[in-house]
Amino acid sequence: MDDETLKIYIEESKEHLETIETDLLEIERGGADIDEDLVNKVFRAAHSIKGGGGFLALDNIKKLAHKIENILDLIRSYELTPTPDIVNTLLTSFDRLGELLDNAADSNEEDIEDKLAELTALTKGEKETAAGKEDGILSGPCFTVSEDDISRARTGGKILYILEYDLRKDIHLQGKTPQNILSNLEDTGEIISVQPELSKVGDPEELEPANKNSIYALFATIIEPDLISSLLDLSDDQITVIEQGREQECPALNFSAKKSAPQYPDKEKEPALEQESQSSVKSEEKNEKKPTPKKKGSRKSTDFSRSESLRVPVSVLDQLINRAGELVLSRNTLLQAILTGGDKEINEAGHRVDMVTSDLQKTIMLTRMQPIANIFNKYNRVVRDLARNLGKQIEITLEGKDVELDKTIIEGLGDPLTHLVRNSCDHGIESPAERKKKGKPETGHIYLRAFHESGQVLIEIEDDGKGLDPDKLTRKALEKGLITKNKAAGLSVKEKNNLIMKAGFSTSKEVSDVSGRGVGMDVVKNNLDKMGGQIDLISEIDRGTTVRIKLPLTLAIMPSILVSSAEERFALPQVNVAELLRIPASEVRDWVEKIGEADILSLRGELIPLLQLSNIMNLRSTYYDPKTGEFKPDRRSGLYDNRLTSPDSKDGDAEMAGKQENKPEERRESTQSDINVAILQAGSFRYGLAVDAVHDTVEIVVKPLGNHLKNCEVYAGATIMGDGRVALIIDTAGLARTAELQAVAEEAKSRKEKKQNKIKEGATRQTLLIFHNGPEEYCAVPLHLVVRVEQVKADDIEFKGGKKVIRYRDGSLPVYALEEAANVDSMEEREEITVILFRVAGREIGLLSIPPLEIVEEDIVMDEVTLKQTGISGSAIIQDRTTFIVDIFGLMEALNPEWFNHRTSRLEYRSNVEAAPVSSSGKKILLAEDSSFFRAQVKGFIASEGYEVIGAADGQEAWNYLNKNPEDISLVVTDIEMPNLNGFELTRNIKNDERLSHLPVIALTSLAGEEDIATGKKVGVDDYQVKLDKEQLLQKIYGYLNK
Amino acid sequence: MDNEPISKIPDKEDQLHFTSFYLHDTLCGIDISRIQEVNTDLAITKVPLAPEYVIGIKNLRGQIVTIIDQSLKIGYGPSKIKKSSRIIIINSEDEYIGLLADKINDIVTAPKSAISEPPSNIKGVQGKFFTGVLRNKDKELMAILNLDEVLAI
Repeated sequence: MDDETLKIYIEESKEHLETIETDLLEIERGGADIDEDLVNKVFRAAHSIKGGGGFLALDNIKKLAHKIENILDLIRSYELTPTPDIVNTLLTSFDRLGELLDNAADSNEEDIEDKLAELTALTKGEKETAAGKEDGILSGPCFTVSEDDISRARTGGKILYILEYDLRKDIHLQGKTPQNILSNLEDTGEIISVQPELSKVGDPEELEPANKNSIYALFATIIEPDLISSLLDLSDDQITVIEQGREQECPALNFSAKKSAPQYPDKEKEPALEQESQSSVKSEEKNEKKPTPKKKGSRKSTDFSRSESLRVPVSVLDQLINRAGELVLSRNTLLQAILTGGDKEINEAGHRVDMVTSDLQKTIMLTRMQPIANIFNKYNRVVRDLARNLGKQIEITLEGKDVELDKTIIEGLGDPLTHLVRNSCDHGIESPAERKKKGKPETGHIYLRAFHESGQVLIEIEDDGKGLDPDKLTRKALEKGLITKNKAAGLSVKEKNNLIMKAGFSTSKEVSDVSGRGVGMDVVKNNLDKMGGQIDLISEIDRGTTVRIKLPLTLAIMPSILVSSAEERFALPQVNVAELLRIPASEVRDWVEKIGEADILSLRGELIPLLQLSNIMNLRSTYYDPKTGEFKPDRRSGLYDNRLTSPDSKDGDAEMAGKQENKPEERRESTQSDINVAILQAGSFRYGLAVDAVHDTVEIVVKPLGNHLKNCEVYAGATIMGDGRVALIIDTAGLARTAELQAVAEEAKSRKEKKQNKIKEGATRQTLLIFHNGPEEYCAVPLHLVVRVEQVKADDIEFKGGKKVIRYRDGSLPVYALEEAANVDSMEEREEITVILFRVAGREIGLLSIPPLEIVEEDIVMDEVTLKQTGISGSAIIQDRTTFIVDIFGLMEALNPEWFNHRTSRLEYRSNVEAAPVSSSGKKILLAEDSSFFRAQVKGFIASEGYEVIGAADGQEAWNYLNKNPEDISLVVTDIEMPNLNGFELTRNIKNDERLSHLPVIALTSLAGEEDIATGKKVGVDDYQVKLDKEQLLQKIYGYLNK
Repeated sequence: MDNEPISKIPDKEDQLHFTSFYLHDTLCGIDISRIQEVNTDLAITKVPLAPEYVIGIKNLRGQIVTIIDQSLKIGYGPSKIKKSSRIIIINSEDEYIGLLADKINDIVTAPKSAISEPPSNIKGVQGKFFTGVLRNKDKELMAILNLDEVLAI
């Protein structure tokens, strides 16, 4: 056998198998009401597989297909009712057949005995009952002949046939007798044998209508196969040709020499190989269409065409050739015009070429289009099997099977769809009992739809199951640390439901066999993302869930946004662009912050990394000069440096050079120096990409890059622009990786995982700024206390009046080193020094540190004992290093006690406490704060003032305490963002309660947004304080308690 | 070589054809059967972050062609694109690759026997880029490039 034949055979067989499932399920649905056409179709499929298998010596495939055929034959002859069990066996047998085909070369070594036995059992079981009923009437030919008979019959170029006469239709209804027929045959050839023996054939009138008895004749004649059917007045499928040399393989022939045991007469009358290999016979075509001799039902058999393997409709090919012809003509016109004509002719010709090309492209696209039925159909089976396994009743309705999609997309869609359908069956549709309880029909329904909408294809998977529980999803997401409490509070129901698609989320309580095999909806989403698809989920409890997938028609054309950097154009795939921002030059500092070397963009409260395309690409960034209309090299050292407010003391030679050339007013204040930022989505995280200019959106044709550029993961390919030049397409995920953003994101993720373990130990997540005092001395401060960070040179630090200052903006900034108050290593002498700016007691101060700085989001378990000292509130293990947690307020108080002198009132209070310590029993403060880190911190410094502090882990706990002890508390300090009962709700409760409404409530917040303050005022918050601004807080506490 | 009798030319079995060109001052040759075309269009798009020897990419009738600075790759230092520069398009493993040449010379035809081993002093690192040397009719020495090495990634 040659490989090509085998390949074609396997492909063809696979095609047969594809349609079989649907058909078998249809047969199952029909039950006893057998659709003969359908059974015949499946029969023929099995038959062709068997025939080819025999031809290619794939014995196992042949055997298995043969057994399947037997069952189907019984069904066709109404001897076997297609019960679900039987259909199940058939389905699994076809599956096995598919597996064998997948590995055709080794299929003969596979063990298929179990399947064969299973199938045989079905035929046997049926046969016994059938035999009892039909009293031994033979239902298939089994000629016992000797080889001599055959070879003698073959003499003179005779051809051997097996003829099938239907007793009823072909004999009695024609007013003939079997004897007539046989004698007619004798005239044209030689009858070798007849089955059954004529004496056994009873009176036809007595036969049951369903009894389709036939007479088989082994007949040798010189008549060619293409003539015999008309001559004998038999249809093609009643005639079987036995090819010379193949007699031994014909199961209908039982060679007496073989002495085979009298088995149950083989239902197989004639293997296909006889027909299909009979290529020398002119009637090949007819033969191919000809199934084996069958009983009555088979007469209806229709042609099965080979066009199933033809994937492109000929009409499309014709169109294509027409277009190609037109293109050639247009080219000729164009060339002619270029040689002789003027501009007008060239324009016209060019226009024509343009049109034809577009047409041609569209037509070529058509060849890639495939109906979605190719994948839809398999869900009939998937759903049926799942329903059986799960003990549920589920029906699936497929709509829009004709919708066509690009081949690549169809192929990529299989896995996500399967996952979604499985989810619907497993988690969506309830058990019949449960459904009944809910007053729903016991049978659940899944709809799988495909349709066109605004140039895209939509696929919907809808079930009428129990729907998603948004609150449960939110809880789970919180549990897994996928979202923050802040975020969870602001989510709509729809957004909550869509949490299911976050990475690391799987709703199934336990991993079941059906879905939730460690992969979740996030995988579905990722797969679809890759194809440029979008997924959306709508769900209502007890009403069901609808998942909607939007897909582009093709991947070859990609809508993109053209951007440029340093005169080079790049295309950003539109699916990856979340939004475009234009930051006015004057507002850059409001949007962009610099932390260490990195730029951070704060977008609606979210901090996202900001990259500059020209930096990553090592290109010289440019800006548009409106005066000259040219792009000029940008001298900014980074985005953050917008040259408007740069302090004179700021770093760098580039800075100096820039200063010498430009007077401040000439600096980049025009709108052209605005920063263009594209917010890009790369898998699960977002980042901003600053580009020099944003141009059009264009539909581009993606072209792959050559092998030399394979390692450049920054690019997804290249495209050819209208002017014939090439532009590179950016791969947003690759770009992030190149800029090492991914590493950061992954690190954050792994930390998040760590957090899940730690959270039980009472750790809390903090964003901290890590800096160094000495090279091995790590310090951290809560990030929100940091006003900003400046880089200075050691020389910039001046000593004035015994204090260190640096010139900063219009004044002097006092700077301090940690060692001045705390017992730590002396700061290492460095040329580059980082100054961290804080605001303490109404002043800005700087803390000196050694670069680099780092921001970490970590779960902190603070040790408030071991390393506690002035200016250090404790230590924590951060990134496996012992890190001091710097108490900047304590530090400043130690260094500049005079700054705090104006708060004499507090000092007075302090002396009061000392004078009358008993009064502290009346001065209990309730502190509600969910973060144990902050709770410990705040509790510590309030307690240090002599108050008694009751800590509560959330609003509810605080409320419970207040309810129980309404008289106990003098003042409430509360965080705002807390689980269960947040700060606002707690305040509202307090203010609405007669017993408690007098209590002052101070809200603590890490970022006092105006909106929050307004809300707080509305519910009755007396005052707002920034967390950890110890002085202010104590001042206020004192103020309220002494009103 | 140049003193080979012309009568030898009809013997096609033996005859080799090379496109010769200059990389800086060095005359080099590539087996003509490997060359798809010589292109004058020097509109090249730079590819940042690409290997240094990749000058960029260009559009060749709808195909993206990677342009390689062969001079740089061989170790003769980077070529500058100038008016005389040409791109030699090679069809290699299902893709087109362009090799930048400073100047295209003529086509050199010579029998196989005329090719000598590369002199030992250009062996070493550079040696792997050459399969042999040939003297053309101007008595100039032409180095025959080992295309597979030049195209190697």
